[in-house]
Amino acid sequence: MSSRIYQRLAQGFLSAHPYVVAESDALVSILSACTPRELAAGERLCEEGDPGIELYFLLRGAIRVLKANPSGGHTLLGTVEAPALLGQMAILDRTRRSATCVAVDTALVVVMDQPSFGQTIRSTGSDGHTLRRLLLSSLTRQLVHSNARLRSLTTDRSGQFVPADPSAAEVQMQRARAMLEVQTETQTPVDLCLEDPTAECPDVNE
Amino acid sequence: MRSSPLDAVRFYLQGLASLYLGEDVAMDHIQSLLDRSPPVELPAGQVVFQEGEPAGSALMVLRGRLVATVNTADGGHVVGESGAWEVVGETALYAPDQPRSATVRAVQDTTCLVLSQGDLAAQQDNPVVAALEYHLLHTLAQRVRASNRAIEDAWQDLQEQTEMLS
Repeated sequence: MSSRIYQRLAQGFLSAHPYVVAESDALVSILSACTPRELAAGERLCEEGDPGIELYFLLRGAIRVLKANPSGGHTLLGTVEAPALLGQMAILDRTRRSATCVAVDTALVVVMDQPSFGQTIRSTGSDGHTLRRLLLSSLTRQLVHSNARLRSLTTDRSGQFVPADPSAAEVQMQRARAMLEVQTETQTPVDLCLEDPTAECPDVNE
Repeated sequence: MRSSPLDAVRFYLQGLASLYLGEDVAMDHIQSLLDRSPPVELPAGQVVFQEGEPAGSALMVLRGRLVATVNTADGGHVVGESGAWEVVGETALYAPDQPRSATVRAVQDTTCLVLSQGDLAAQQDNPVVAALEYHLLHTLAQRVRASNRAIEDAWQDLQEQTEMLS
């Protein structure tokens, strides 16, 4: 890809993270040092259980995030739309992938491998603080969204927090109401938290 | 707020930089950070953040203990405790439009580093700041995992209750 395309993609990425103070040139440098990968519709980007040794910058398209369920199918956790980061928690914690990522339609990602990630994340140069701030912004959004969802499952009708009490009818009603709200809610680009665990997603290319 | 025992703070920051960057940092870098963001001491009982108020900074606990509570009909419910090296109020840095989600109070005499995005950006070439940001990333990753696990548990409870009711 040309530097002009990377420049435009980097600006789009930074626009999606308005609280990140960074120079787009630094992000262009990061993106152009990564390996581009085009995905066909339904193609897997990564698999649940794989080692978390890559960070993905989703530049075009959308990715479904799925988790295997006990019945042998997949549960849809969310859909992530470009521009977005994927795979950041596993590469930070050096753990295995907690979910499978599949392209909805054609998608473009650039892949940062573990050695490059380790070097850049520790860097005191502009590439280092740009990467750290993008990751901080992305994880903060995930946390705010997850906490809001959790709160909706543990508050009563007046908005007061209620400690978990399975026998309380009010809690049951609130949770049922929250479930209905969740099922009809539109996904946000960074929504990777658990949605409806009962939703099956059969259209995964093996 | 009184001035803190700076030697202990320097020791903590040197350890943090060594842990995350894999190398020792010059004392000048640590001093530069402390000159801009001097540690604060919070006496036991002091309220640090109030639930619902605007947020602008995070705290890294260097010594002591903070407790977070949320309002309930019968007063308050404890939702978390933080001790040395732990970060509190970290969402303020990259989601400043979100109000404080809990009230945070010192339950012991506590020393904290106050972290704002402006202070961190102003010293972005300082390796101690790089280590602090890396530490924040690990904190956030742990919180997201914990929150997702709690949501999963809540969904399982809901499914079991629905089955019991049907």
